[in-house]
Amino acid sequence: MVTTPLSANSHGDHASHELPFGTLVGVLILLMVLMGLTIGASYITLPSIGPIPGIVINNLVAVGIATVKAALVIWFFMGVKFASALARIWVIAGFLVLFLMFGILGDYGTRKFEQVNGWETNVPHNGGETALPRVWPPEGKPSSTPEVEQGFRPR
Amino acid sequence: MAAIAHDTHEDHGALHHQFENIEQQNDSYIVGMWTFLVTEVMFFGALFLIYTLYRSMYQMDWYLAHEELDVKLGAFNTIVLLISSFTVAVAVRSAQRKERGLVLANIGITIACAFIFLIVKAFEYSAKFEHHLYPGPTFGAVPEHLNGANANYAQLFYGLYFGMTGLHALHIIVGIIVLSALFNLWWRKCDSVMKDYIPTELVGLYWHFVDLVWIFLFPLMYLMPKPH
Repeated sequence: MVTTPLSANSHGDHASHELPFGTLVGVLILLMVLMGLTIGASYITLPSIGPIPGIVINNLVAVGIATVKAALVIWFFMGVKFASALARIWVIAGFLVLFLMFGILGDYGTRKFEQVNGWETNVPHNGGETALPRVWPPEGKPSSTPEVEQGFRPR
Repeated sequence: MAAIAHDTHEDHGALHHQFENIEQQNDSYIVGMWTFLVTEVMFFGALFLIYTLYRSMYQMDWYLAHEELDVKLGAFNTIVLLISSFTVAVAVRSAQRKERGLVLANIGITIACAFIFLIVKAFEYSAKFEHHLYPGPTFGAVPEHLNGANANYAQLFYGLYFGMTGLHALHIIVGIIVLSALFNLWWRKCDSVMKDYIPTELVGLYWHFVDLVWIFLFPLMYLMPKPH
């Protein structure tokens, strides 16, 4: 039998790939409990911790519980518990890239710090002469004077 | 080498000649399926990114707009999908143990759960259509259903709501087709599934992914905490 180290399975015995029925039931019950927890947590306004507002804590709790639920499904139901090292690397890399993709949000967070000369006619909500997108706010145009309108695209 | 491996692993189904042994073959199938699932994660991930951006920009209006969604129906659908995920896991376990009856029963329950999910979703969608909460020129024509949210911000929310849950529903429909095909193979006692648990495992992986997306969609769409 020839196996490369990556595709070698640490649980040599084939029968060990089966999850015990009790484990599956346990995971299902845990998932239900966590669902109840996330519903309950959404109705409670959590206090802010230091500079972090309560709403952010609330959202972190909700996404945190969802992540735990997802991890349970991936680890037990999707059988990553018994998967080879190669398959595990695949799974981890996939979610790592998803996490990295959220770095794009940094663009929206930092544009207001970037000054652009010649954008002085920006409407106030766009923060003056910054690199924020030159679009009308969704409420509608703040001004109808032609010189302000110039260079903006409607939403 | 392959011939020897084939002789000693006969009960695991056909070992194709390019693989050293059945473990390596199974591993290739599973890595291949995960490669597909990872592209799906990125596909939905981009939508979650858009959601995060606009939700952080228009917190209060999105909170008001989301109050129109029925948490009870959303929670019911979550339970339905969690159960279906469980039954698929049991079906895969039964496939490994070659218990055909249990496989058929569990795939059957899973397909039934998928239909229940879609029926509930259809009721939810039709209520939103009645209240003019679908993006378009008549959006917000019934202002009391906006709960005081700015119509344009609320339209952004409903655009993503229909986009993301609609795409998820499309995955459920594809899941029903794939599960039915698998059910048919088991029903006809085909060697491809009876002697090899991998086809059942791969369909299971797809269905768990559909459940995974809903695990994030449910709290993000239905359970927004009140901004203060």
